[in-house]
Amino acid sequence: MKTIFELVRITANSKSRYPVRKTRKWDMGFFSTLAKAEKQMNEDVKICLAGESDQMVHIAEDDVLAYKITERELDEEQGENIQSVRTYTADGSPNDKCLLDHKCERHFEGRSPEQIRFHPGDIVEVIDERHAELCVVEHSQPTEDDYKRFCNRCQEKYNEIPFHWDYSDDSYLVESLGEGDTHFHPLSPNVFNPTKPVSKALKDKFKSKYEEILARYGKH
Amino acid sequence: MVNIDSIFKLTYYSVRKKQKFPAFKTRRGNVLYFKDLNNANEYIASKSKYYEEKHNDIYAYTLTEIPLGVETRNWEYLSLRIYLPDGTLWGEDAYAHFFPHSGLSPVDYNYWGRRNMFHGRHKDQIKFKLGDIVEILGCHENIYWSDDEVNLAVIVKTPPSATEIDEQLEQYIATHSGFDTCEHALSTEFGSSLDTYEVLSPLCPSIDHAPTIFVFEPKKISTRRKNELQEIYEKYLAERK
Repeated sequence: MKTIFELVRITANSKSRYPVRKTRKWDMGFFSTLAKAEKQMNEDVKICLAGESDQMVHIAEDDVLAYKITERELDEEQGENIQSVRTYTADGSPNDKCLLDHKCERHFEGRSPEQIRFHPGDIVEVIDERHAELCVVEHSQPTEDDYKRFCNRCQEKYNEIPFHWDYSDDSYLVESLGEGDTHFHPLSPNVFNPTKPVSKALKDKFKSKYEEILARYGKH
Repeated sequence: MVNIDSIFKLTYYSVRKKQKFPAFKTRRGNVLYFKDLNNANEYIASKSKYYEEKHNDIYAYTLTEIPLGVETRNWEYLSLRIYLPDGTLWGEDAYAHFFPHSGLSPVDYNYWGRRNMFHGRHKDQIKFKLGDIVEILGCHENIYWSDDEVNLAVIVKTPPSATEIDEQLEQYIATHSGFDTCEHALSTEFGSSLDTYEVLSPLCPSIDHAPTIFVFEPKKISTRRKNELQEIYEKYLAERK
């Protein structure tokens, strides 16, 4: 199986404000190995930080939020060609990765405690190719213990495991600001530390949102 | 000898059942990546086997060749092919539309200049004549109409032939010198931007350009629309006299 690596830069207008920002996706090319894609990314980090490139004319108004390297399978005809996703912060340091394919051939078996980066109550920024949104974490990814418990329960009940966990289970449960139930499940690589400082007023809002969640469901 | 690895990216554009002229939206389907041209062609052939006009909403396939290991934007390609929903090749851009970014590319500017040069269309490749009513597919591979819409238009000028381009090129070289005549500078004058039909459309009152291979035969068109476009064309002819 031959794969290629697609590099994407995600930016947002520097004047846009929290909690929801529109983002822009920049195609940066395709590479045969991960090392080459990371090398290109690091070149781009230097250029964007220095602000001296010709391209900066176009993105002068924009802040770089993140880089994303997607591994895609060639000659795959179903449209589910993603093999792995890695994200990086604006200075090129690794953020998070998910090495599970979107055809669900590799199973997700929970994350070890070191791999879980955010915990309930943390304020995070969920960045994808359309939006960047501040959210509060309600639940982290399932741990290895969770997976074992899931398997045991299935064995007790059905004597087999009826289905396996896949890439979509490697996700956080977060809530954004707003009335009522605003939860969604961003994939782990899309969850970042806030890229700009968060004001105290906004922090208080998220705090009260988290308390509201706790009052609704109790502590997980 | 420069050898650049490339992959092929296949995108298909589909339309909804209700098409209304003069403009209707297209939808971009899944993007597939292929190792080489053969694999892509096989896939298109296997897909189009099931092609029946009633049950298929695919408007066209675009197949772009993308370099590996070079910084590339999503509108750039080494070659571009368009396939009709029944799998036949509609048109081909043999030249590249690619500009090296910020000195990171491994090859020099003149090499890309040579590849970007447009050498004119053969007369078999020019499928429409003056006054023909056509449809133009807008998509992000189309450098003039990237708005994801299919537009109706009438042709007022056909793309230049090889001899026309040669004449223009001679004239240009005779009147310019120095940096202006190097291959990199020439490709900006004689690149993909020349490979167009000039068209008039009901929504756009002035002359617009449509890349040659993105111009299609209109499928269903009412006599009222036909008359409207013919009026635009006659008005244009009258103004030129």
